[in-house]
Amino acid sequence: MKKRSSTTRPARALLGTAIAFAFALPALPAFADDSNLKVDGYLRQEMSWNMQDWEDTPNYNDRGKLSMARTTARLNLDWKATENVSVVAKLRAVGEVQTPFLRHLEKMGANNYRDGDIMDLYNRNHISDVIRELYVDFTLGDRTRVRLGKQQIAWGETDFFAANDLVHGFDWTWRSFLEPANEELRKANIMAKVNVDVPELDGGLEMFIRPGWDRKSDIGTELEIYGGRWSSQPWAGVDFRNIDPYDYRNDKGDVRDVTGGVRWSGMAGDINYSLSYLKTYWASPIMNGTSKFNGMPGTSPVKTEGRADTNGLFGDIIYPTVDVFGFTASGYADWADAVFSTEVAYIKDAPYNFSSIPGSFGSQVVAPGFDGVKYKDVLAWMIRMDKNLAFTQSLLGTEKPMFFSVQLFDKWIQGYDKDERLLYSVGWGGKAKEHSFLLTGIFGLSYDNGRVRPELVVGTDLSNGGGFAVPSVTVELSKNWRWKVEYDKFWDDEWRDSNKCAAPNASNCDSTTLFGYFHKRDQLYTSLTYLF
Amino acid sequence: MNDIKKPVLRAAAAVIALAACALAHAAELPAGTVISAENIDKVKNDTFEGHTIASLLTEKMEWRIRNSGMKVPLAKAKEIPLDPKWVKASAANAGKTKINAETCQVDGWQAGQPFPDIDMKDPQAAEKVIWNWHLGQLSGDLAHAPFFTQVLIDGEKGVHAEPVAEFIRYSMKGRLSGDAVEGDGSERGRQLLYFKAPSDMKGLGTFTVMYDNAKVPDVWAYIPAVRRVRRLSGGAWMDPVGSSDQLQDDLEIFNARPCWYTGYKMLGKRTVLAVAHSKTPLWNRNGKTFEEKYPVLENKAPFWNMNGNVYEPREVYVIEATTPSEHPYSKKVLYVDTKYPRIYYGEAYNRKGEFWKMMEFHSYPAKAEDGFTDVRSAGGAIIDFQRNHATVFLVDSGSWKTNVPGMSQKDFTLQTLQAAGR
Repeated sequence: MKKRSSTTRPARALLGTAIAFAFALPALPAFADDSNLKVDGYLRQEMSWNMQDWEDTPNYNDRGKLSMARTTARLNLDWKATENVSVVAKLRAVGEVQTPFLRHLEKMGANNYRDGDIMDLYNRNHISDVIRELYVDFTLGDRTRVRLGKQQIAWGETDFFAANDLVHGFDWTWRSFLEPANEELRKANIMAKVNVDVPELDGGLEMFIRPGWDRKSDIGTELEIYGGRWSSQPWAGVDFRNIDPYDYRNDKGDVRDVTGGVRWSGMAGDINYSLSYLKTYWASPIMNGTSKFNGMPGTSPVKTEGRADTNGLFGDIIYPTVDVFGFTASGYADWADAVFSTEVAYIKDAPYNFSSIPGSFGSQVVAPGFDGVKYKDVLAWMIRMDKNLAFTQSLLGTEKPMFFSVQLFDKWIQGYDKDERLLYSVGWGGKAKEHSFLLTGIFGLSYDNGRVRPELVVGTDLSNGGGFAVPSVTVELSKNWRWKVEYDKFWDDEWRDSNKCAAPNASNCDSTTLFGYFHKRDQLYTSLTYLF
Repeated sequence: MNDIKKPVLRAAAAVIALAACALAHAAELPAGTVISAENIDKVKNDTFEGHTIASLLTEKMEWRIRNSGMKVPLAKAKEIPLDPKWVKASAANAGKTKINAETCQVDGWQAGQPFPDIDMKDPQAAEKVIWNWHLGQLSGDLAHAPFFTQVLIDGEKGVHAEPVAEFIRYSMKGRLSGDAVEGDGSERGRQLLYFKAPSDMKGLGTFTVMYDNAKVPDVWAYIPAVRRVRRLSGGAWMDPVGSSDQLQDDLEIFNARPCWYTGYKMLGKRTVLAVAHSKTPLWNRNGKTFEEKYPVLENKAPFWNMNGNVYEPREVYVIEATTPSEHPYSKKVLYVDTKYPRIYYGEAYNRKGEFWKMMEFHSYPAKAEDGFTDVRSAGGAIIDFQRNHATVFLVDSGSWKTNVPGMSQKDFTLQTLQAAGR
């Protein structure tokens, strides 16, 4: 496998950083003038350290190792070309240095499906990566607005778990959990969006169409199945594409497919509501198991989806399209002095991998999930309460009431049959339950006129155990400088122990669910941001 | 008896002689005189437009002059031009309007100030002045300030944040152009607020619907980081605005529905020095240095004094407003112009009854796009003396427009907020 020389890597990282600064410097004085071009953005240096010794990097102590040293430049350009036409560009350049920890993952095999340079996962500065968004806005008449170009559309209410927020996939190689700004993660797509205001009915219609002109990699949620920093336990250093590459041109979900949606949102009395229909890619990657192993002794027959057989030896990763019928509502309740929100998404034929007994050859030797795909209707729903708690002003000395938000999220599988042995995810043995409840809470404090902002985000998987706690504090050092320190703590009821999962027991050696994927993945994170 | 009286008479004679001597030295100060810590004792008994300087300063103003760097340049009082439409609408309310405590409304009010004649002997006088402020401001039907800044100031270190925002308020009731009421009559107005800088606040916007009844406003925020609109708690009227020193209730000193307070007491009428014909702009957004950016702020600790502006004698009602028990303040003392609805100063006291914050707003009359004469805020300071911190609101007055033609309620909806989000 071709590997780049070690001398070129720092050079490339520096190049990324140079691009970052080049982005930023011309922009510094741009805001205050009266020009039709508005420019803003930030330069950010992020660093993270592993806080525990990973189970899946044998003979290597990960604890205390620097896992990320990333410099990011973000540049937002907003050009008002005429009274009714604006052009918007959101650009992002990244320069990340290879740390000894990342070098170790690379040696283990991370990203070795390509050239083996793990930094290719993180220093993504191709033109389509740098241009996060680029679109033109214009109006037609006095009530219709059009947006054409690469853009992001966020539907639904919840910021944590995607129910109706399924227009785009997410890039979890950037960060796989609790990214505060989802806009950093969404894989923007080339789309045409039209909004028609209907004030007579206290609402408006939003329609969009995605013609299928995106890069292959810009659909579906991208997990770090490449063995890198955000790979899930126990798959550090394992690039799954060697045995199951992506298939973006499957009949079940083809990047060239035309997708789109329509949403009505409005007011009914004091309640905001929306109704939507969406044709989109199922966000979670699905393992399309190979049928090549059919007939081998001890294996089960596998039906390959959407094509005669897979490209990969064990299977392909596909993103089937689904139909999503959505509803959201939110309103302020005087009696509770709180805002209540809810969201429902009925997903028709959501694909699930499953674990059969006995499993296919792939499942027996690699992990559960290579046995095929079943389709189930799923009702994903969420309820949330946001409330400001004034008692913190006297109890904790906060300058204003604490922001408190509690959210219950569920995925309810319709026509559930335990014996179908549906998996939450390929790679782990945890079987999906009829309901999967996740409870999260946010506690946001503020001191010293917003200059010190502690926050605690906690969550737990009520159905399967495990959870997380993310305490952080953001400090406004001055007008333009922000400093954040954060600890990401995960706990679980069960994790997949590779030592117990050697072939042929790979498919029946664990029942790991969500938080087991983060087993011993605690990290300390800090960022320093200069805003301009 | 005479023995007893003689020393008393002698003392009284001495006091009278001293007083006469003092009066003989009291002078009428010229406009442009700056009252400061250095000269306050000297000029206290001097007069300006017939009022002694001592009488023109509130207790807290004098305290600020002596202890907190406030300076007060004197300017001649000028009439505030009252728009004829507003005068007519206000006059039409005389004798027809009544506070309805149950509905938290003013029955019979259409437009203008609901209570044009305030009788100091009326037990509801103070409350009526507050209703006049709440419903009858000379703000026009559509006020649009495309640029203002909210400067956060540390009393020792100076400015530590200066977010920039845009503000639009559209009246749904009490309108003076066209129909007095738009919609079903339940809404008092709609408000849009967009942040433009710094980068981590840019794109953040709020849309507020304010009601003409006891109901708290409906508020939505567009949050750029997650690219969606979220409903906010409308019950936050007693909470701080962002990270500032002002509560929602402190916007332009008093921003609550009058019935949300538990009572009002008229403490009297007096004349104070206040800024009613402010210099403009108080914020030059293209300025590079402190002095260029903030022409009237003094670049010297505590940095929040608007010492470069012009203060004129204004007759005000002094009103004590009592807050509900859950409010951070125990009371507010308000200084409201007697000629038109405008609050120049507010003093906020904490729950222990200690002086906590002082609010000072500067305004000026201006011409709207349609010729209406409105009164606009040029800037205002909310000073937290317990924390030695202030929030100073400053407007780029040159870009302000009132009663912009061609706009209607359809331009101020939740869809407008969503459309602006990028």
